[in-house]
Amino acid sequence: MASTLTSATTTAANTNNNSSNPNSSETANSSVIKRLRSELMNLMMANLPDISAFPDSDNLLRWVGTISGAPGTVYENLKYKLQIQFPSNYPYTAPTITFLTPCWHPNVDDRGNICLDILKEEWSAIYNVQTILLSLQSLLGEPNPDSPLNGQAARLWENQEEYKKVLLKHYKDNVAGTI
Amino acid sequence: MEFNNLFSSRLNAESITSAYRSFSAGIPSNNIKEFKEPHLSQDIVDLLSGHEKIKEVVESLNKIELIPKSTEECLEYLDTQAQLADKHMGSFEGLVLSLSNTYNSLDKTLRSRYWPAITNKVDTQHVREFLVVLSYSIYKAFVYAQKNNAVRVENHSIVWEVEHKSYRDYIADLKTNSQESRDDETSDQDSDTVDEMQPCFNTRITEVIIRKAESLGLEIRNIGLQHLLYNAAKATLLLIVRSHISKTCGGEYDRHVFGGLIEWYNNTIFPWLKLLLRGISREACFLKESFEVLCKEFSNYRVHELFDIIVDFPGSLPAIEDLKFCLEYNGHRRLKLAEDLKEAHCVTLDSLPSSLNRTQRRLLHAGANTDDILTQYISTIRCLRILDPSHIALEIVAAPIRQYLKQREDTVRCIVLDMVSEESGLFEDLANGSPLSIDDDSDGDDDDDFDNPSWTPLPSDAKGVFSSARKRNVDVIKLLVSIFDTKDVFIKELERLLAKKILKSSGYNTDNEAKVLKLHFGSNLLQRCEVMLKDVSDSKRVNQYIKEQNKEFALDTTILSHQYWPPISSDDFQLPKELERIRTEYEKHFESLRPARKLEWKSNTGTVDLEVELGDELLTFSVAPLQASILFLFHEKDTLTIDNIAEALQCSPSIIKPRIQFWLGKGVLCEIEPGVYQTADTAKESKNSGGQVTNKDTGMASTMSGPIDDEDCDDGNNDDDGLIQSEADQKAEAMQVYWQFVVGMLTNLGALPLDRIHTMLGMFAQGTPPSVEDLRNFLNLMVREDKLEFSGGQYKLR
Repeated sequence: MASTLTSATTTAANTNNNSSNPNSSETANSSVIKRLRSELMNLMMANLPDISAFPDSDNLLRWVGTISGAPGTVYENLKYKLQIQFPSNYPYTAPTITFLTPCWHPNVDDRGNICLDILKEEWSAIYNVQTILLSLQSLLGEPNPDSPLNGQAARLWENQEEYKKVLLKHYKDNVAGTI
Repeated sequence: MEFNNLFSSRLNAESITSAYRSFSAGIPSNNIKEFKEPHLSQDIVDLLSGHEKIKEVVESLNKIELIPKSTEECLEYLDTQAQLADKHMGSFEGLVLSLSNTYNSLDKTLRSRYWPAITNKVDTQHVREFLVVLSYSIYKAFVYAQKNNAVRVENHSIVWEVEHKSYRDYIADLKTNSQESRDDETSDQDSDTVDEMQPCFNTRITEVIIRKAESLGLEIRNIGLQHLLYNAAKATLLLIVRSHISKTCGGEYDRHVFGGLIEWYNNTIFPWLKLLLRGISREACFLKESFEVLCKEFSNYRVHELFDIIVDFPGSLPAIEDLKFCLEYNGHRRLKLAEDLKEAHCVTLDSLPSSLNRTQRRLLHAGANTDDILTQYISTIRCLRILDPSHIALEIVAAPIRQYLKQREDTVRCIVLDMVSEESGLFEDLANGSPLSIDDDSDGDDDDDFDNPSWTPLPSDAKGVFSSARKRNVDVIKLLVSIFDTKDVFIKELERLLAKKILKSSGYNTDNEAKVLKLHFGSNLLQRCEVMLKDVSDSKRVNQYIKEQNKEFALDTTILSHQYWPPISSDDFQLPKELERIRTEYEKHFESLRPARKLEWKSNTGTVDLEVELGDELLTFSVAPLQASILFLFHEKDTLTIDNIAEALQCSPSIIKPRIQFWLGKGVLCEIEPGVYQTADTAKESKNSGGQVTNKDTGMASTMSGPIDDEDCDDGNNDDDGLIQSEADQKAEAMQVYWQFVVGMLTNLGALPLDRIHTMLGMFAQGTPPSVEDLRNFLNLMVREDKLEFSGGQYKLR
């Protein structure tokens, strides 16, 4: 008896959810807000040293993130700021992420656009801000040379020593003092 | 073809041999029979014939087999020989020894190292090295000859006299250094008189050397190596000039050295080059160039030392002037010759990054005092002003320092302190300069000033990058103030400093400060400061008036006009009855004097002068009111617990504790068991009725009534006492949840003001957000724990 009862309530909840999603944008918005709120809370409590993000203003749909290059990579100790714009139907569509700090990287163009599959065709609702930021952090250290947005960086990647030199110079010229 | 090549190489080898031999013929070596020009060597032989002993020495030296392997070693070897010869300096023996040594070593070296190369094929690299060594050795020989006054130079330096004169004029123009140029002249006279006393054998040696060199030049010209000699001479010149500059000018910032360099150039380098290059085409051109080499090397050397020079400023002013002359000389010539404006700045701009890097490395780190950085910054401004009137160099160098200073919390405080302390250079600047009009935003663009006859265009490449450079053409104070985007921070700091000074010392002399401030600052921005100063003098009058009415009155007050003072923390406590009584009495008097006003007391400011009788000892203290109040309580009762005290004074035990600690430390109170205190003499001799505490003189600040604003003390105003911290400690724990949010905020959004942080927390964090007050205390606690930084009204992460 008891088991059938519980299953009945869960299905009810599910249908309720499904119906509310495609409906009015108002309710969709509130569920987005709720999701983003909990993501923020999780991110804050996770207290990861190298990644961080926070809503930019009173608009919860626009965040600013900060990532540092992973230790052991050429991007070690370099800090980058990102802008994260969530769509109103998040998490069913990927957020738009761009580098605010000029980033010299094979998969980042000079306007900060990023070429990363999970932000495009491979997006899935199971990703969240934390996993996105972690993916971006690992992208810094392991670029995908097949789809470069910055040809010079992609060519130089093979020569890590030279790459680091150019990277640090670029970082120093563009970033010094702003972070 | 082949035959030709072979022939020419053979010819070269042979001629070099003969050239070299005729050159080395100055000494009695085993080559003596093969002289090409016997009449020349005969001079030396004649000269040496009477000195059997010298022959022996020379022969023994000949036996030493020392064969250097590289060019560097050759040069080094020559230098050691030179040092050896220095020991015999001044005597005929020494001269001959040095000459023979030099030539001798050269003989061996060249033979072993270069000969195979030169004879086998014409190896340009080796021939060049050979020529460098050769020119260097000629130089060495020449210097020795000269040191012994064996060479006359007066005919050579007509062209360079002109340059020298322009330098003299330049130095003379800098009137402050008249002493310096006089010194130069006297030293000239000295050397002239020495020249007169030339012994005759020296003249002959000179002739020999000169003729040797002449014949060498002839030979080299004959075999078609002139272009190589030209290059070798250039390389050698660089070598010599560099080592001479570093030897004579390194670290010498407090006197003009460039005059000496010109002297040296005229007397040594110039005749040497003439000897070396005699008869070679382009000689004249090269000689001209060589002076530029000197200037360039000197300015390069100085520019590399620039950081140290700036450290020594203003003691290093002569060095700066020397450098300026060099730069101008080079730049000026270039300007005339090539009309290339960019080149004119080339030397300065090219070499500045190195100095800049050092500045950053040596100066801009956490360990350096803000004071030191400021001093260096000010000196940098002054030095580069002299060096580069276009201010472009200054712009480049100053940018990172400014950037860094901006981040420092205490920059504003240091600058303001510097401005008002009379010993500092800034104070002088203020006193000498025109009144500082900080509020003058429209600096005016020089480019629009059509009447300015000394206007020069910016270098073409600098126009875009340094368009702001001209705007920086303002005084040092303005440059300092402009580090921060807003001038308000300075005014605020000035107010705060003034408030602190006034409140700390009761007998504050306002005249002095008022004069300084009025003289240098525009009045409208400093209105608040003026009111503060006026308050002080007003208070004095009120005090005097009240004292006239009641001679016994022991209270001096400073009456502050509430709205004009920076917020004063108002942590109130209940004064002991005696003090309270005095205060009310004062209030009565005041209200009769100024009926419309009401006093609001700031109990925690001011000082109390106490006389404490401990047994038969009489101690005097000048302490804060709270400390005095604690002691007063022991008047009524010998033994008190900390809770008793807290209750009587109506404030928390955590505030009381450090104050009691103070009295414990002074030995006035003692702790008989944890949290229970007694006056020291009661503890010692319990029959006595307790310490007599006499209130003598109390100074207290009070606020003239007006709208009472409870939102004061918004920042680090309360840095002297730990009041806030202990309160905040209790709430800090509850705040830890919010800390993560604050970190997240500040990491991503940069510095934020308090109210923004508060709103954001309310918006995004779950649960009820803390009150603004609690948040402020918590953030201030984090500032104390070095996790946050507070500046300009905003918090940011460390």
